[in-house]
Amino acid sequence: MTEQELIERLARMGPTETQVERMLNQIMNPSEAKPKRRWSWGYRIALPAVLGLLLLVIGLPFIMNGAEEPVWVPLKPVASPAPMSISIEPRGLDLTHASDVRKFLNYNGSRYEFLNNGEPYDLSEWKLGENKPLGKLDDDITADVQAGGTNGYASQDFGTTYLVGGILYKLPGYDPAFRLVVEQDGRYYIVQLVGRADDSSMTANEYVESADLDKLADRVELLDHSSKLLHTWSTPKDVQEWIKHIASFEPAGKLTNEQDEQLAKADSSGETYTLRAALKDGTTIDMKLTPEMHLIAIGDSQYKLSDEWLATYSYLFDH
Amino acid sequence: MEEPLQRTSKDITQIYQRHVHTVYKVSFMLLKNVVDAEEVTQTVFLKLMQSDVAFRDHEHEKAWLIVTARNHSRNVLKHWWRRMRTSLEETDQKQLTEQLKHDDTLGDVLALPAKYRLPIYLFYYEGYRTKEIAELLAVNEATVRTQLHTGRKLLKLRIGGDSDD
Repeated sequence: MTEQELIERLARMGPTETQVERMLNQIMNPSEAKPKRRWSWGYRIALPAVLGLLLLVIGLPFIMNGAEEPVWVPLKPVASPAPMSISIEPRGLDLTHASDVRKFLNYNGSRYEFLNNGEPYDLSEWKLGENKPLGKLDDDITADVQAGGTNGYASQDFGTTYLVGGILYKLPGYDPAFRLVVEQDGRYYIVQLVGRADDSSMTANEYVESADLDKLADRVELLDHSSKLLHTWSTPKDVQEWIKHIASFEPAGKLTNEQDEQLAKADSSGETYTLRAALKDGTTIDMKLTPEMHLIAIGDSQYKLSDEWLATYSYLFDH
Repeated sequence: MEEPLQRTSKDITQIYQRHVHTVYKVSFMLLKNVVDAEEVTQTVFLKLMQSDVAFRDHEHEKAWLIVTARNHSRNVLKHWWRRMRTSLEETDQKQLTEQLKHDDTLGDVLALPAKYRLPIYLFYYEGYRTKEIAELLAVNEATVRTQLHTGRKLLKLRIGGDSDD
């Protein structure tokens, strides 16, 4: 940072014209100034009391019935040797081979994939059954597609390829736009956002915000095509920097056949990487990175790597 | 007997226009929060309205405002209820705070320990000399030099010239 840069940044600290006017107005009309009245001694005593009371009123029912867990408790699969990661590279909805059917469901216009390949999680202590269900997964997408897709379940809410008949709940501590829970036969399965049910693009920023990555991300890792760890960013500043970059990526739109072929070729020749957001709850979000094509897959969609990102990180992929 | 100084609204407005940016920036450098910086700025000018201090010139006026802003900011920092309050504030103020915190270079400055932030601001932005900063902050000049030196090192600032003066 040069001296000039420092001065320029300090100049941007404010105040803005709006602030200047607002403050002047409040100085000249102190009776209208909220802050001074608000912070009289009466308020200093009253505010904590009110907040305490609110905490008691809102928090007590949760404490009593255990419905609300701390946000980032580890999400433990039930006796599953598989790693707790979700590969969210784009995949189509080819359901012709039932054994290969991707495990996903639709809710509120979004598509969610079952975490850990649909293995249950140990959420027995969360008492999720005491919460209000969001609905029942009645519509069997697999059967519908095999019958020609006449019902259109593949893009409809409560359509699912797995656990038909399961009951959908919110997962406490997570935005329902990001994660939900399915309960079936007393077992709990976690699903995670991968995109829109109608295959339209969502912005990378929407994904980042619904996942609350600002708070949930613990570190960011780069792995090569054989899952060998190449680099880890773990300081809060580095992680935030990554999240900022990810949120800024623009949707690449629908890829052409040629681009699809190039992607497949890059994949088979080991020119793809996994960008992994390791979360504080022990799970991960894996994004497939193809630097050569300036693309990254987040959920079911491809996004364009920004010029800023390329300028900052392309050295990692120089051979 | 000398009459107590009575400033008119017009006087206050003129002083405000001259120095509001400095007062706000000093407060923000110490408090790192739009809401608090605004409140301190308002309080400083309200104190000015109530004060009968006569200024020799605009520089004296500015120095008084900086010292008052700094003192009041330090008082605000002491109060435990400060953090609780920020969650209740206006959305645009919160957004501004967030924007500023995410401004990389400014974020680096704001991440400096408090004792380095104000000397760095006064020296580089306001153009005060170390001696003047020492008088404003009521500390030894050598202390200011050390604070600037350390702050610069922390910022990895590449500046032209070696002298603090």
